Amino acid sequence: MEGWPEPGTPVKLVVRTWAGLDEHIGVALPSAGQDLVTIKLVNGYNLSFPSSYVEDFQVMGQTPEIKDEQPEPIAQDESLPLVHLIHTGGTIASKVDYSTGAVTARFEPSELLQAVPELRKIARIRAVKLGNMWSDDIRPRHWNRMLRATEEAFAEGAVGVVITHGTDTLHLSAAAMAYGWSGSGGRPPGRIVLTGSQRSPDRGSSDATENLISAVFWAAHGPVPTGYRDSSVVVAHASSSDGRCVVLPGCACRKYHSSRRDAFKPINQGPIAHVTLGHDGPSIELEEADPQDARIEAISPAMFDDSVRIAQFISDGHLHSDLVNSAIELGYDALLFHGTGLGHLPISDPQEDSAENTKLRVLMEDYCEEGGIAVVVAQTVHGPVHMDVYSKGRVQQSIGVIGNGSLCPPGSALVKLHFLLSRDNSRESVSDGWNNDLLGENPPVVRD
Amino acid sequence: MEKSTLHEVEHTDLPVDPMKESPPVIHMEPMGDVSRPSSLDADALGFMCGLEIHQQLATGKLHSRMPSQLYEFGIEDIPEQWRLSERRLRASQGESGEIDVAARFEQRRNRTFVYVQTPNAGLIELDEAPPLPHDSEAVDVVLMISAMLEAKPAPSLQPMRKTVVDGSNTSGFQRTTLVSTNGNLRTEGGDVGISVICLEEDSARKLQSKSTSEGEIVTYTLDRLGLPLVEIATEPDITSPEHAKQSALALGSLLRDTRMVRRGLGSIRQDLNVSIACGDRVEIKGCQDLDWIPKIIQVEMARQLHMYRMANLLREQAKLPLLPPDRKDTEVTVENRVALAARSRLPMEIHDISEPLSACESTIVKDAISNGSSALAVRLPGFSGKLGTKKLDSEDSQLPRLGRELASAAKLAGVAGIFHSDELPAYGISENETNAIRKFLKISEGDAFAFCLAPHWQAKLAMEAVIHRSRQAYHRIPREVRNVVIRKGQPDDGTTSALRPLPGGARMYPETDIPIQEITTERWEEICANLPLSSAERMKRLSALDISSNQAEAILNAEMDDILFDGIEGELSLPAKAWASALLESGISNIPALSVAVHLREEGVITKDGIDLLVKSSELANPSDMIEWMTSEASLRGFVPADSNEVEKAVEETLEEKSELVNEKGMSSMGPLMGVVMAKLGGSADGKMVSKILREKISEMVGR
Repeated sequence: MEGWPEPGTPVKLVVRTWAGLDEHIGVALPSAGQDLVTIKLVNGYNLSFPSSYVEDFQVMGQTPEIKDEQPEPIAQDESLPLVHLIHTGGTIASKVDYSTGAVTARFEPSELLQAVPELRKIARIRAVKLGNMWSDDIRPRHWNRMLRATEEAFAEGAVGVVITHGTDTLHLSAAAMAYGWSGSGGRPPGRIVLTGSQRSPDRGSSDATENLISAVFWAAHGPVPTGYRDSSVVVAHASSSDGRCVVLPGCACRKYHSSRRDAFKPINQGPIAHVTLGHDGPSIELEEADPQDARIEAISPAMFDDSVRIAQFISDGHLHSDLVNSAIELGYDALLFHGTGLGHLPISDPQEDSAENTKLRVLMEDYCEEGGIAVVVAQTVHGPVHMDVYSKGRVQQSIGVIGNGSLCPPGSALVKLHFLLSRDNSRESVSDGWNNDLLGENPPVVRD
Repeated sequence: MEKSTLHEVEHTDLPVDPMKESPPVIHMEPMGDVSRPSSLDADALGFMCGLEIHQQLATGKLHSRMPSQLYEFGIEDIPEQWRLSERRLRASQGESGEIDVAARFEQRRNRTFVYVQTPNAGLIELDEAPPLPHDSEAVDVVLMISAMLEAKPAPSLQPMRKTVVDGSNTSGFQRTTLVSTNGNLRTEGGDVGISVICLEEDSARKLQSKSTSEGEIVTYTLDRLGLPLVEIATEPDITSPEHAKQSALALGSLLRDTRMVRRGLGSIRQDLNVSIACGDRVEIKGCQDLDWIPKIIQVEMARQLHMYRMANLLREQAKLPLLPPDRKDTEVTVENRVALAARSRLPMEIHDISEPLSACESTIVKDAISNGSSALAVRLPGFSGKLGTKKLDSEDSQLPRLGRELASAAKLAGVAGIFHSDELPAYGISENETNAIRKFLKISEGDAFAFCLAPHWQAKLAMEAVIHRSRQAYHRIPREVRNVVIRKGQPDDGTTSALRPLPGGARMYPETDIPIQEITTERWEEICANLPLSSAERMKRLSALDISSNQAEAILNAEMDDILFDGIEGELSLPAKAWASALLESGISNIPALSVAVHLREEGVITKDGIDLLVKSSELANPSDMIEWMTSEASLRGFVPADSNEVEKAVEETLEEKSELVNEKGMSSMGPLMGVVMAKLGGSADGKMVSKILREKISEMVGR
């Protein structure tokens, strides 16, 4: 509206309501919507009026100068281990501007240490801003940047790295860190932790602080990574209650709930540890794990080939061969099917009334025969892919569909496939790699 | 921490309406006897008072579509299958990036909250899923209330988050939406302006609070969390303690007129904002019993007056400039100077006094120390005799005293209380020990001390709070939220205790999970066109009917008058008296069936006894089907009224059988024989008819 003052300016507003004229005193705010005039009343409420309702307004004072105070740097305890905090974005790093109510991302190290003073007793923190994006916008190229940032952190002497990340695809980035550092048999030089939050930090009930404290504690004081299951870990609330976080294998967990605090669960295996936040500070309880041969410390991580493209399909009554075929024709490097049950596709027509099933089978036969890479994982998320139980599965194996016997969870499988394709994109190589247990994603025994 | 100890004179960047009339500044020293609170002159003291009413609405929960239902259970009998979640709240940074003193204090209390998930609490109540838009029925009710109070509606609803740190909201904030502003309430004592009408979520209900060495564990049930509340705040237009009660009554009855508010214990809560010129604004919670309102206000006026005089006594003693009699004359520079002086007189020094207490015979002290508690004390130089001991005023309330304020500040840290030198020796602490403590603390006669027994961290927090509150004693009373002291479910004596500092508007920011919702002109107009009748109008309407005044009152009280008129004016044209009796007797669980049954009874088709049974078993919806079904059912089950021939026959038979009895007892055989005849007729008879015929026949027999 014309002449409407800058946000923060004291203003008196006269509006025409259905019940007559009304007056409001407050400060001008940025408009809350199209063609709305918004003010914050003295009592704290925001009110918005269509500009056509405004009869008159009067500026009642100066626009306050915006004080962009740099927070004072906070001295850190040099005797504590160094942890890099790599910020990528997401709810955990958001902050409310109380005058406008806008949620913004701010991430200055001293701000963080001020907000979570407990961190000062756990580690020396160096904060690195890698980006500021919601996790659903993250692409494999960002995995590479995160890998690079972890490499730099270790090179600078960090014993651990905490990556703060939006929760939606956090498990995929976690898997990417694991394959990058340990996919070829090594182990990372330090601990890599990914964490996020399901409730924004503006609220007293946020899970962000406990997740962050637990993550930094693990990064600073957790066990030396073996490179098996623990190349990267995800730290998040263990239940709906506060006070305890779970440490999950980055290669075998995922977000299971769109909103709960305990959204992250392990798949086909147990958690690695728990961090309890007691009155005297955090403590770690390790879960039992099978002994592992020592792996060699990797110098640098393997990167993901940014040009690789994988097409994913969900197997059910709506999977049609023409869709699959278009991916093949578009030159996708591999097809990843989320098979039903033990890993099945709709490719047989026992009642001779579903020609589309036959078409899909023929397409798959042709594709695989020409060296195409088709992998199947379980859309049930939990449990093995087992293509020996039903004749359908055996047919898929004879066609050349990869995946039998794997316990690799679907999300991790996508990253694994990308990792394998980045090394060698031949069918044989992917197939061999798929059957292996590269870093704990495909354990030899089913325990959970 | 030190920064916060400077006196925080209220300053706000937000402008004040220059057009608004403010009361004149008072220059005279306030007069009045604090030991006779009812004698205090509200006008002369610059009394200001506003009400804040929170009333639960009888609709579903505001942001979750769960039913609004309260479950009766206590901490001992939480059903096993109800899940518990344990949470902690963390103070989030305010606008300035700083966590305010109150929130920081709260954080150091180490409180853990346990939430009981009742069947009407889901992920939204648990703060595990985002909220849904407002319950539309609740919005309608608040718009209706707004129209009834002549308030100006906001054209759109923008929910806000109001920070709450006591755990009563799982999210750490309460969702609240401004619906309308600037209304007017008519009361006997004059008009009271309505400043805002809001729609907000009710909080969780506290079941228990338990102190442990690690901190307090507070258990809440989530059944009430999210219930819609209308919050109505008045302007400070209330002119006297009695007028406050009148206004609360007037608002309460207006709200009940909507017929859309919950009734019963706890469904309405009144807060009072009270100040006198030499004091400051205090919000008093827990004034459920309206009859107590005038008393509570008078006691608060006395407290403010006492504390003002106490501040000036302390200032005089310290040769500091006195407080002006009106807070509008407060000068920030003077207050800052006084704050510095108070800080140097009352340094934050906490002493462990377990040594002078080591030989103490008091069981409280011995038990506490053997449990590992610390005994921490602070010096209060110049405070001797100013803390006071428990005494009653001439109206049976405790007199205001600084010692009680210090204790109430300390209790917020979770300690049970404090001991201070003005009331010692007492509690088994002897004169010797009191002197030993004095000696240990190296204090002189004019000085006081206070101590408490608690786990070290908690005792330290409590003593810090005592020092802070003692420093404040040099200033005007703090603007704070206070609770009425309750004993056995009743206000104890009208006194209050400190709960937390008064929150500012800064603790509010938009609820970004719910989009702004437009209120259409049509919606507002429809609501304005359908405003409910007031109870006076309803009574007037009822009194025109042929029913007794008792019945009319009972009908109105049960809010059944609309149903009554529907029956009378409806297709069945039920007679007022019979319909009213039936409603009062049988209730409103099945109105269509009840109205048909009453109709059939009036037509002589079914008996009175049949009504209840037939109504209970009726499941039909259509009135004409119901008439048919009830008629046939009545004859099947024997609820058809017997005609007089049948009754006569039964009476004659009975009299023949029992002729001896009649001969012996004469007319007084009526009673016993009545039952015999009724049994013979199998419930189908009308008692009146039976008794009439029986009387005739017996008198015939006796007369023979």
